[in-house]
Amino acid sequence: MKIQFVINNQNKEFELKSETEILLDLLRRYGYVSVKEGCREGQCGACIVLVDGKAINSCLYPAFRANNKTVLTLEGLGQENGLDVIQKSFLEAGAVQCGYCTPGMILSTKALLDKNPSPTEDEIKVALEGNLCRCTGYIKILDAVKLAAKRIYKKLKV
Amino acid sequence: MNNSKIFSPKNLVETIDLLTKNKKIVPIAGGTSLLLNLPKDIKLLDLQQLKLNYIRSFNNGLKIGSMTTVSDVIDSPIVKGYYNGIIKEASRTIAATANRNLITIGGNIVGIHPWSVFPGLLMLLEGKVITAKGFVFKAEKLFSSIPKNILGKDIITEIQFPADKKNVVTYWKKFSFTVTDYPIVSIGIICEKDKEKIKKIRIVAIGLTLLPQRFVNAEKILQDNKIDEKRILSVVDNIVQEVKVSNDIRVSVEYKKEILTVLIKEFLYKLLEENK
Ligand SMILES: Cc1cc2nc3c(=O)[nH]c(=O)nc-3n(C[C@H](O)[C@H](O)[C@H](O)COP(=O)(O)OP(=O)(O)OC[C@H]3O[C@@H](n4cnc5c(N)ncnc54)[C@H](O)[C@@H]3O)c2cc1C
Ligand code: FES
Ligand code: FES
Repeated sequence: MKIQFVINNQNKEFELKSETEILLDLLRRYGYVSVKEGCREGQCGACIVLVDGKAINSCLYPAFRANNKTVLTLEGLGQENGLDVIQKSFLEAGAVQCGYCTPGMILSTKALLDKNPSPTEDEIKVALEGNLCRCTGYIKILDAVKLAAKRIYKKLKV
Repeated sequence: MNNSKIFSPKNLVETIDLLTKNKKIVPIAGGTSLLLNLPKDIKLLDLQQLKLNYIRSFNNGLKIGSMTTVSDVIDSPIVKGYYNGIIKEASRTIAATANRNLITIGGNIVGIHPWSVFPGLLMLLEGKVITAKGFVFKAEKLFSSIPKNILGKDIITEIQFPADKKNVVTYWKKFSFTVTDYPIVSIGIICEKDKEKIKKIRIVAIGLTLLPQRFVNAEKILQDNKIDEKRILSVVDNIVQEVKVSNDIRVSVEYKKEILTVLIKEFLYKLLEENK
């Protein structure tokens, strides 16, 4: 079964392994390895991607549903020589250690800041509450989101 | 898309036809429960094309389409003020943002788990569940047994909440070990007061057994009475005697009962305090 959707700004066709294949597996098979596999049951947030701008757990999302939609993975946000403002803020705030949770964290942050460029600390916590990190202790992640928000908000105001 | 295992009906007649004619066909809504335990050789009935994603006010109450996600409920300006915002508040206790962007109201009801919030909310607010075949189930009837068995070859299209009431006190509290964890117990209470007297009260809990529980006898102790310390203790005694608690690997039955009484006491002592 074939489906097509816009991934990271490019329209592409994908062949499903089975009709019930989950988006996480499909994306990783096609080389989008920033999408991480953790619990496979919606509890850790490592597999979060954006579908039509909303953060979703790709381990709970049937791939066929992505047909004709827009998907964003970390590969589409920025590359080594041109990082996105959220990626830069995570690096500068020291919010990345092993990095396993980082793609999900950054995409949850993007979904939040696209909708609400000036979130309160509580709003940040709600947006990221489904992203687990075993390394950082979360403080620096909160700092990174605030830093990114400040930069985005400033840019919007100019 | 051309395939044989996924059906995406465009209307309810087609949906019921597919459900009736295919033996191994299962509706898929958000997929968050179904995909974790997908039976083999199954055909999927995708409900996404049915335009069941809506929230409307009607007669001062609410109609919510079964494919509406929990996030849409939380973001809805109509839901915000209804019964002091209790539906929004309770919805916020469901899992995490990325889960709530997928979980639908219909899936929350039919794929019922002990932690399912919407069955509890419907019981609490005397809501109704509407099906594609045109059946209307009162919440208390639908959750007297496993909803999937009651529904048979039918799907939920809508839930309805009755007219909003002002001057009611509402309470929804989840007790869990982390914000996103499944509740050990969650409790919902609505209470209409006439000065210091309780005119009407409903108390519902989830997280204890598969189906939500309402504490009718405890409600009777409070109804048409002024609240005092003796009555509060009598309510708690009654609930501890009557409540059913299934095993939960995280905590003991006694622990759950204790938490339940703490939450109920918290609400009732606050009422008592307000009367003073
Ligand atoms: C990590 C995690 C934590 C969670 N925590 C909570 C929590 O604390 N509280 C809570 O309430 N929920 C919670 N949930 C959600 C809950 O466990 C279920 O996953 C969810 O309610 C299922 O909804 P769905 O739309 O994804 O349904 P699906 O998985 O698509 O379907 C579930 C079942 O319902 C049937 N079905 C779906 N829609 C209809 C319909 N309209 N008519 C007839 N049948 C239908 C399907 O055939 C299937 O049998 C959590 C989920 C996750 C992943
Ligand atoms: S792998 Fe999807 S939430 Fe953990
Ligand atoms: S940086 Fe290691 S899990 Fe978050």
